[in-house]
Parts: sequence; structure tokens; C-alpha cells
Amino acid sequence: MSETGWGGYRTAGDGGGLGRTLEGFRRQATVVHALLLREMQTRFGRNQLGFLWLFLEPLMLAGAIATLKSSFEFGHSIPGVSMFVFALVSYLPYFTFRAIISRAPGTLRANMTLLYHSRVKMLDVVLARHLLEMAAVVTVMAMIVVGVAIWGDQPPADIPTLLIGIVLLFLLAQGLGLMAAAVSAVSEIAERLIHPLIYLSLPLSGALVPLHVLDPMIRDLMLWNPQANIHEMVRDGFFGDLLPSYYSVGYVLFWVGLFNLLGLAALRAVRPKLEF
Amino acid sequence: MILLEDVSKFYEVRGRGKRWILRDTTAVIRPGDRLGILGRNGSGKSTLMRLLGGVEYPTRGRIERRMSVSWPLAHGIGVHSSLSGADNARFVARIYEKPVEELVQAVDDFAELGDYMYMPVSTYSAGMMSRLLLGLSLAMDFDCYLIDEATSVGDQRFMERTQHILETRLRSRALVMVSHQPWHVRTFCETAAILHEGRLTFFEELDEAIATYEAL
Repeated sequence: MSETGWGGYRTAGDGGGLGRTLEGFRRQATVVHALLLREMQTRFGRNQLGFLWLFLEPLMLAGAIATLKSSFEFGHSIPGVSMFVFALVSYLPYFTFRAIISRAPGTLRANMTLLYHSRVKMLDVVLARHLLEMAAVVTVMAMIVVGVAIWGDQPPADIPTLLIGIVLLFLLAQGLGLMAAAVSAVSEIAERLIHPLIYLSLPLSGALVPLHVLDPMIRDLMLWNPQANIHEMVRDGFFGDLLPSYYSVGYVLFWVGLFNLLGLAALRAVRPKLEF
Repeated sequence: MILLEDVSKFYEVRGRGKRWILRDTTAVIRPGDRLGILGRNGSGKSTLMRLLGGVEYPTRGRIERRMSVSWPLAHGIGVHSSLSGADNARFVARIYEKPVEELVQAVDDFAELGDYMYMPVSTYSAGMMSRLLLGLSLAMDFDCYLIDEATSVGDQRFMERTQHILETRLRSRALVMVSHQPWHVRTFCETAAILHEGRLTFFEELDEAIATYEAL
């Protein structure tokens, strides 16, 4: 017997609690996989650049910012740390973070018709898009790492730290994106506020300034923001001892968990209110 | 079986209070039922279909689905317009966990779209769209089919084919169809109901339902 709106129905030989949970996860994985394939098809379908754009967009933006910052020496010089590489490594993850949150409401709205298939849940739609963005940014990051290793003769200090940092940033954005999508689904005003809020939060994000060059008091204040911790972690993974960094993985994990749980709860709360 | 228990649904209309679609409705749809729901434009037929399909949730009460129910079949619903018919079939096959290429073949056989099967759905005519949708969902083998628009069954030839499939291979499946055209209901259904001002009234006899509907 299924509850209203779950769309599923019990099949013969359905197991108990754990069995149903596992079956649910398996089914969700199937749906997310189908959505991913579809998303790639639509990107290919529109024009041949569609798929390439997924990688080019973050790369070009990060590259442009990095070029600007290095050519105008608009920043802080740290021995052994190239301004260009610093900006690339800082801005690329930030770009993905911002893109995920600001696109989440639109993703959901554009794919409302998918919810007609009762097996497709709101979460699956957002999750598929995020996985694709994540795959793109990891690829671009890998290209940068290889490029800098070859031409800049500077291999990353600690690849696991770099990778885990990016994944954590993605998960933080995912939690916030879920909340943004849920709130936007029921309130137009909230949706309009999301963009300005993201831009206003740039100085607090710790993305573009190494916390090491800041006054210790300001640095401690900045570290209240889990995002600043993550950017420090990513840079630690890349530059290692060249650039002292400050972060707490436990603190980040706490916020990542909290935001994701709140995001899931918010989606669940708005689902019955959706109008088609 | 689909159970509706004291189901109410209304929308808030800005400045005009509530617009009722359903008020305290209790109903059962059983396997093998052929139910036609008549209602005027704007009476909430499509919303009722979305409620039955679990797409939209009732304001109050509960809807329990004890069988697999199709998505409400209506023009452009549940397909992606920039993908081809074949790619849409693949997508639907994947989410419902059916063998992918077999399903594409089954849809192609039924819908007879020819080369259009590999063209974006946005280029389809209304008739082609309905054939694709119907082909997709009939190949899916749901326990209950929701047909939202009468045009979803295509032209005369496809109406006959659909009718044939429903009477043979899918005889034990339920069908719920909404329409504002009595003759659609007469073609496909055995019982009928009228949706009018939030009330869903069931009739044993089709003729009685149609006469009542025409007198509204």
C-alpha cells in the first residue's frame, strides 16, 4: 500500500523496511542515470557546442578572471604562488558553487513536465544536473592541474585534499541549491533575492583572497563561513606548504550535512504545493 | 485499484477565494474499469487526472494507488520536445526499467511514425504526438491508463487500433478518460461520471450520464 503521492505501488515479494529502502535507492539511481543521459542528449542536440560549453564556460570565466588579476597585479603576492594559478584554482570552484545554486530553481522549473512520470522526483532532477556540473568541473580542474604541472612546473601538493575539497564545495552548493529550488518553487520574491544574495556573499566566501594575508581577527571571522574553509582546503591541496591555509574539515562536514538535510526537507515540504 | 478517500482539491485564486476542483470525494477505480469523466472546459478534468496520476497532491484526503498508473496522456506531457521520438522512448523505458530497444521497436510499430521517429518531438503534428504518447504508454503495460485529451487517441484509424488493443491485450487494465465530448466516452467507456462544480457524480448507464451532461 502506498501513500498518496509516492506514485509507487507495492509489487509482489516486496521486502520489509530495509528491502524497500534499498529498492528505493536502486530505483532512484536508475532514474538519475536516465536523466543524466537525457541531459547530455539535449545538450548535444541543441548544437554541437552544447556539450563542449559545459567545460568551456567555467574554464573561460576562470581564465579571464585569472588573467585580469595577474595582469593588473590586483592581489597579494606570495612567493612561489603565481597570481594566475591562484586565481584559477580559487575562481573555478567558486564559479561552480555559484552556478549550482543560482541554476537550481530554473532546472526544476524547466523540468516540471518530468514530474508527470511519478518515478521521477524533484530531487532526481536537481541531482542529475548537479552530477553533470560536478563531472565538468572536476574535468576542468584536472586539465588545469595537468596544465600547470607541465607548463608551470608545479604539480599539485596533495591531490586527495584537492579533490575532497572540491567535492565538499559541491555538496555545500547542492544543499543550498536544494533550498533555493524549494523556496523558489513557492515564492517568486525569494527567487529574485537569490542572485543578489549570491553576489553580495562573494567577499565573505573567501574564494578570491588567501586567508593567510588577512588580519588574524578578520580571518577568524571569515572561518565561520564553511565555504571559506573549503576554498582554503582546495588551495591547500594545490599549493601545500607554499601557502599556509586554515580550515576545519569537521566544521565543513557539519554544515554540509545540515544544509543537505534542510534542502531535502524543504523539497519535501513544497512538493504537495506544486501546481502544474 | 485507486482509492479516493474524502479527497478535496482547490486552488487559491488571487482576490477571488478558492476555486474548487473536488469536494470531499470518495471513489474507487477497479482493475478493468472503463470510466469516462465528462466535464466542461475548466471544470478541473486535467487536475483530476493529475491527482489520479500522483502528479499533483490533494489539498485534503488521500489517494491510494494499489496498481501502476500511467502518467496523464495529453499533448506534450511527459516527453521532451527537443529529443526525438526514439530518444524519448529510450528515456521512458529507462525510468520505468523496461528493455530499451525493444520498447523503441514496440512504439515504432504502433505509432507508425516512420522517419519522424528520429526527428525532434517539437516537429510533430498533434496526431503524431498522440500516436507517440499512446504507443509509449501502451508498450509500458500499466495497470491503469489515464487519457487526458480525447485527441490523445489520434484519428479514426488509430482510435480503432487503440480500441482493439484495449479490448484484447489490455482487457484487464483500467482506463480513465476525461473529455468534454460525449462520443469519445461512448466509444471507449462502459461507465461514466460527470465532474461539475467540484462534484464527481457517477452513473451506471452511459446514456443517463450523457443526457445529464448535455442538460447541464
